[in-house]
Amino acid sequence: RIYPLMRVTLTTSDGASVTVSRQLTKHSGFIEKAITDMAVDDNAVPLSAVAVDVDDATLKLVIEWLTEHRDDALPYPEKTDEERRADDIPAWDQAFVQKWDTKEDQQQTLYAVITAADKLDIKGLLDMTCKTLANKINGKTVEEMREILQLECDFTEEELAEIRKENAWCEN
Amino acid sequence: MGNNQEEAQYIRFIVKYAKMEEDGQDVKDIPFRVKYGIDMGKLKRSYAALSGISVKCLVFLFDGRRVTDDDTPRSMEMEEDDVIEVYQLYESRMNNATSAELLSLPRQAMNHICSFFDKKSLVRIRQVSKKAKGTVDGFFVHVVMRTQNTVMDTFSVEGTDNGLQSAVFRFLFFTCPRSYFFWKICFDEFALTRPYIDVQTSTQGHMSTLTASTIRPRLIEEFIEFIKPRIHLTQIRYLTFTSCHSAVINKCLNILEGKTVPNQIIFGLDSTTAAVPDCLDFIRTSQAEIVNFDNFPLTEVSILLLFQLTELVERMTISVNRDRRGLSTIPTLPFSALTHFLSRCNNFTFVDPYTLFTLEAAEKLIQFFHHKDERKIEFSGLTDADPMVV
Repeated sequence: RIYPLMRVTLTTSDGASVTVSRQLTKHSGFIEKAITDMAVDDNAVPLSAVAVDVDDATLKLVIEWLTEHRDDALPYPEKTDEERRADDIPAWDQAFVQKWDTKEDQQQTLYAVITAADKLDIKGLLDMTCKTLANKINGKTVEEMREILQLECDFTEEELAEIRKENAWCEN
Repeated sequence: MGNNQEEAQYIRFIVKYAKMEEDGQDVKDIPFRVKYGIDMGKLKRSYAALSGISVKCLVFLFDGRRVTDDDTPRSMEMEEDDVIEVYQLYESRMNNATSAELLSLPRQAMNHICSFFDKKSLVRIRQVSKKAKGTVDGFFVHVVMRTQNTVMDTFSVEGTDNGLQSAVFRFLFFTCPRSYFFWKICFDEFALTRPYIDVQTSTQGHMSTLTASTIRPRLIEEFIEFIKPRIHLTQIRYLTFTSCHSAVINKCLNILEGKTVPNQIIFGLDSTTAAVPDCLDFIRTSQAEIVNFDNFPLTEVSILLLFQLTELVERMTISVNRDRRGLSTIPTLPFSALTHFLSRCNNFTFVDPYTLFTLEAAEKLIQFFHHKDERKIEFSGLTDADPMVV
């Protein structure tokens, strides 16, 4: 049973602690598990523990998202592989992610939130951030992908030719 | 009163991480509030889950004594605000650093991202860098493993020794027919250099499906070259051409050399009359026992050609799905050619005859076969009670 007024204190790796309503944390599989199964004292969940390692800035973003999505249905509806699509991100979420784009390290923020969503087991946030990232890459050329992902090509010409051959079935 | 009761039931204590000298990890103390009767094993696992360190690497000490899984706070005579110390014996191999770059994201998250890429982009990422290729290939294997687990359940029930191999094998052909590199990855990953599938095992155990149709013709040769040595001893049970093109069928004849004769061939969907002679050649060469025609074009020409097969195949099935195209071919069905053909057939099954024939034609057929009761003609998939099995 979830009591809306119940508070949960989350401690981040920077030592900051945030107290939020249980209504928000119920969307996080990890925090729910920590409270119900793991017998954590006083509903104080140490996100600083090695397993999660969420920093303060990231946690703020996570909580901002959770606040907006506090009334989302639970359990989160699972999609089959066929039903998955990347172009159905709600407008609020799009604007939310857009804000990070203006920063220098926009990708880093996104990666940090993905990691946090994965570790904290917040399925809706994980889906949304993964879709955002997939949308950045979908339909791009290999060179553009390298630029977006900031990766250097470390293949030899022969290896690259081999992979092109393997990939041939899906191009054109 | 409630307070007293609770105090009697619950104990509050702290699990303190005892920092070793060169151990760089900083794990905060975790306060617990548990019932007196709780197994410490459960608490250990909770701590491990929270700290991200494997429980096998941790030693819990209370009052200088090692805490066993069967201990309880009561058996250890713990008191309020006591401290349990934890030592990490060896480095846990878990890496939980916050990711600065995409490819060091947790594996699980990576797979999740991959599931949102469109197929074309996903495959293209393999060209980006070694690590990117590894990530995408890993995702494919993850998909195989996930699917295979469900398949494996059925296999283990039936007790086949070669469950893994045949399961993977079936998956490879069934789910991802176009991506031949995908097979390559899986062959490497599962060391399926010779997927021998024992005929002695259950009927499910030696089934593999080879879908050749969706491969582009120019890739077929390459594919056959790759797959041939690997399926040398494999019995192909089904060979499906979901859309028949002469070039595809001809090239697939190559696969049939050796012991890989399919028992059942399925022709389907977009078969064109032009490809019919090639289909027949293929059936002849393969000596398959069962041939299915799904949505096969039933024209006078094709039926007359099918005709030549009656001495080759033991059982034939024609099925037409209830779609528009299927219906539109029906009125053109030449009745005389069909009855002529059927009169030479030993065993013939119609699936959904209502979509094949008008009621009038069906009645005519029944009358026709009434005189030839030694033949086995079967109509299946009927919706009303009319017993049309002759």
